[in-house]
Amino acid sequence: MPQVIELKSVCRSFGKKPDLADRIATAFGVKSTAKLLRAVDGVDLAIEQGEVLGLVGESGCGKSTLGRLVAGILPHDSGAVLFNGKPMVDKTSQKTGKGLGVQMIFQNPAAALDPRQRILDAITEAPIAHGLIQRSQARSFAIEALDRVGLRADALDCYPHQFSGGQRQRICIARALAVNPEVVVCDESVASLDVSIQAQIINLFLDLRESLNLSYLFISHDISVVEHVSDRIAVMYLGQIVEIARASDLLENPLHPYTQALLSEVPTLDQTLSEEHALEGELPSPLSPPSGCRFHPRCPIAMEQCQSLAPRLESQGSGHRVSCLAIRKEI
Amino acid sequence: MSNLKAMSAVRPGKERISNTMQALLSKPTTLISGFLLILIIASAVFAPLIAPTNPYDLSTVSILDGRLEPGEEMFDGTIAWLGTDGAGRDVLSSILYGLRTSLTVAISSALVALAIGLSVGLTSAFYGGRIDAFLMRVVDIQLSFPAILVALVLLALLGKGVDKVIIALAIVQWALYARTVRAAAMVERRKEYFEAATCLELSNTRIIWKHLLPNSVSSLIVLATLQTAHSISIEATLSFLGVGVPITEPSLGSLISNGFDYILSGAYWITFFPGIMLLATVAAINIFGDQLRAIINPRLSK
Amino acid sequence: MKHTKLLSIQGLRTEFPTPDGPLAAVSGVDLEVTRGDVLGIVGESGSGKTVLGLSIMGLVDRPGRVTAGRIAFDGTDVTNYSEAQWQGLRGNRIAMIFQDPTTSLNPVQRIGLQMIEAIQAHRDVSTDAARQTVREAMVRVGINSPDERLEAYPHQFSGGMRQRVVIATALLNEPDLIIADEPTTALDVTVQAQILRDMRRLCRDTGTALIWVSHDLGVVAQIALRLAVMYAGRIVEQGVTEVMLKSPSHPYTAGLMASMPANAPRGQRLISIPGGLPQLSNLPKGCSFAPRCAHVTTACDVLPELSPTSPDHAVRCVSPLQERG
Repeated sequence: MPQVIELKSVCRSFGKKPDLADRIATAFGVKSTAKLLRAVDGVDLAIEQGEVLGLVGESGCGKSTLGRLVAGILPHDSGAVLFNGKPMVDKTSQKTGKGLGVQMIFQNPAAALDPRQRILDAITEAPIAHGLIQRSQARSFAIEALDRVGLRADALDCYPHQFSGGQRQRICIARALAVNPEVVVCDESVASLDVSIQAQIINLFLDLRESLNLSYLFISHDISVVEHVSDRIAVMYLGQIVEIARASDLLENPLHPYTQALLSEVPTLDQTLSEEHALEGELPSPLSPPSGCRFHPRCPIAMEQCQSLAPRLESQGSGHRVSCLAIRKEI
Repeated sequence: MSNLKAMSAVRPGKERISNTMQALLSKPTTLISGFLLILIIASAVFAPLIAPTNPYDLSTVSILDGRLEPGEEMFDGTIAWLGTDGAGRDVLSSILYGLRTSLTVAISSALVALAIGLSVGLTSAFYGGRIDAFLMRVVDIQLSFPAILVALVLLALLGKGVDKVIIALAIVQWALYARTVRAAAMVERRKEYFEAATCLELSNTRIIWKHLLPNSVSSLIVLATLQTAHSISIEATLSFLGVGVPITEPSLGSLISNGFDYILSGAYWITFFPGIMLLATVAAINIFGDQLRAIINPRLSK
Repeated sequence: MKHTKLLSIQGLRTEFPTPDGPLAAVSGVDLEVTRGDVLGIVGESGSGKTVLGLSIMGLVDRPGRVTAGRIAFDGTDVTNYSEAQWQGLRGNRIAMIFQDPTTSLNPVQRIGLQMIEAIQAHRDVSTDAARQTVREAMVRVGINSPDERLEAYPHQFSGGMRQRVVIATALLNEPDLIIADEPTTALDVTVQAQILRDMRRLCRDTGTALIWVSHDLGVVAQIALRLAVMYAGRIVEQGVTEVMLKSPSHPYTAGLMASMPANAPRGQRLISIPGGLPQLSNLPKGCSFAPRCAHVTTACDVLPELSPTSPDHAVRCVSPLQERG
């Protein structure tokens, strides 16, 4: 299958580079060197056309940053982000038109809509600005867009505050689809919704994927949701991908100790949490990640080398890749 | 399927305006200060119609009317309710015309400052980084100088005239607007709809003016109101010092200045009444602006 | 004299005034909690679960207030308690844990000091004795090396740690009842699991009763012995957790369970409950769930009572799922 999105050794950090004042202060020993937060550190990832790639991880793992890199709203520091084989046009550098192929649905639908904009304008603003439709066609276009997400036409003249969370998220989806993207990045798109509404939106995503042949990058901290919708799942920890596999493979046979812990810690209706702590300690600060394998301080099978040697993602067969020295040794 | 709330499709801005109006009408302080304000503004606007005389029409002014006490009759029969000044001008009429000048200067300079400050603040918030740092340092420097000092220097450079005073006051005030707008805009900039607009590749201009601007202006309404009061004070001070508006278009400040020489000789009313008017105007604007702020930003009032 | 019924609520109704008339966030709620019991209250937005928790503690924000019903704590009627009387109970015999630990802790005060204050507000003990109690409480919730932690400020802790501190504080005065409102919702899965385990163990060891309010059935299922499901301000089903989850009687409970992705075959559409969440200002006459219910009949035009189907189970539905053939 052709790869619609490809990330090669992509890095993105946050933090100030030390300026002259900082350097002087450090020289005098007054201030320590400015810390750099490596939100995404050397990620290789590919999304195949028509697939749903799930991305799970806990807070601080960098999945939201990765989502924004894929959507093109954050420029990457190094590496390559390719869309259909060509370098992704960074949207912040204002090259219009070409970058519409990847769109994003955000976590908070209330904040994702301009409170002062009518729904009609919210949906048709970008298509008109990019010449995809004529102004005269705006209303009929918008009615179709809303229909696709299950909303009635009378929503067009209303404002965001008149809708519920689930409806707002539908509007956001309609807005994103209005520019005919090929890839949709869903960043915790159902996290803020109630369970029963969440189910409706998940169904909507699945339906749209069928009818519009979309590819998704589905980011969530909620593993049960990701499990349900994804074809493949990638697990992220402190800026790196530690495991990636077909969803069924990952669930039945998780190889990385972090993935195993994550899966066993999910509270479900049929599984009682065992009394054993699967995972000790807290998530380390992304500002000072552990040396070598970042997971080694909390890892139940950590070996000596894990402190100094950083593992790479290696294939274990049938598309299942794990980044772990201990596993490699076993196999 | 869709479950729209049964609310009318009123623009969020408009709805808030009617809520604000309701809140404004509910408190006595607001009602009184608001009423006073309307009265003052109306007086200024309709000054030519309601003033008993035109004190700057030299053909009607006579030195024989000079220094009449409040309530005395002038030469042509009109009663000088608040007395006359040294040159024979009716104080009440002078106040009304002076108020006109003062308010014109204050409101014009506020509008110009708002325009400049808005552009700078929005640009700063939108682009961030070095541009933001640079612009905000300029703002900081501007704000670290006392307003009157800057105004004096500018007027010395620009010369006399009502338009020069407006420019000077605008230059003195824009920084505060810029800073306020930037603060509000930075909050909006962090919100997801901003990222969505970037994702949809809307142009920077469109994002700034169509999305960032409308959502950042509510904080400016209060600031503009309070700054108007501040400008009136500054302008009055400048005119008092003799560097403000020219004699042909006196403002409250120059009226006060005019009457200063007469205080000790007993003709208190020449300074006193313009002074009261200035006080009342500034107080009314300040109190009203404060009430407005309490309503628009309820957390602050608690 | 110790009552067996630690908490007894009858006909509770909490209203909020609105321009269009009073809105009942909680309506006709009957609940009982015995010593050492763990009760889970599950509901989505608008269900009234948070307001219920606040009502029990007398913490409803004015102008909302409890307008009807009776709350009895350990035999004493606390429905009309004054603020002063509540302060004697809160933090002492009833403790509450909220969702956001950041706002529960004073950001400018060291942790140790806050916790010592919490003890000394209700007991006459020396600071040293209080500090010792605090140390023990911290260890009990899994914070090792408590002495260092005592001197730290809240912002120096991670979210999970902060919530543990809040839990430790809640336990300081050995309360009879803890009300926890979405305590782990803002935390990561692994931290949530740790805290769930710790709370389970703590309540077992100390005999403290716990009311766990959440929107997440999965989480509540891990810890609650009994369950109450709320919809539009009313309890629609309550009973023993295991029984309810195996065979839910109310269509809403069943719908909620079916909506959970974990319960559906991978990749397939979820069986979702159609329609939107109830608007308290616009509730239908009769059963509030009727507009969204697949089994609605004309009998649903009358608001059903919460009627027991067995000694341990009650449903508010004219034709509960389990009774049909």
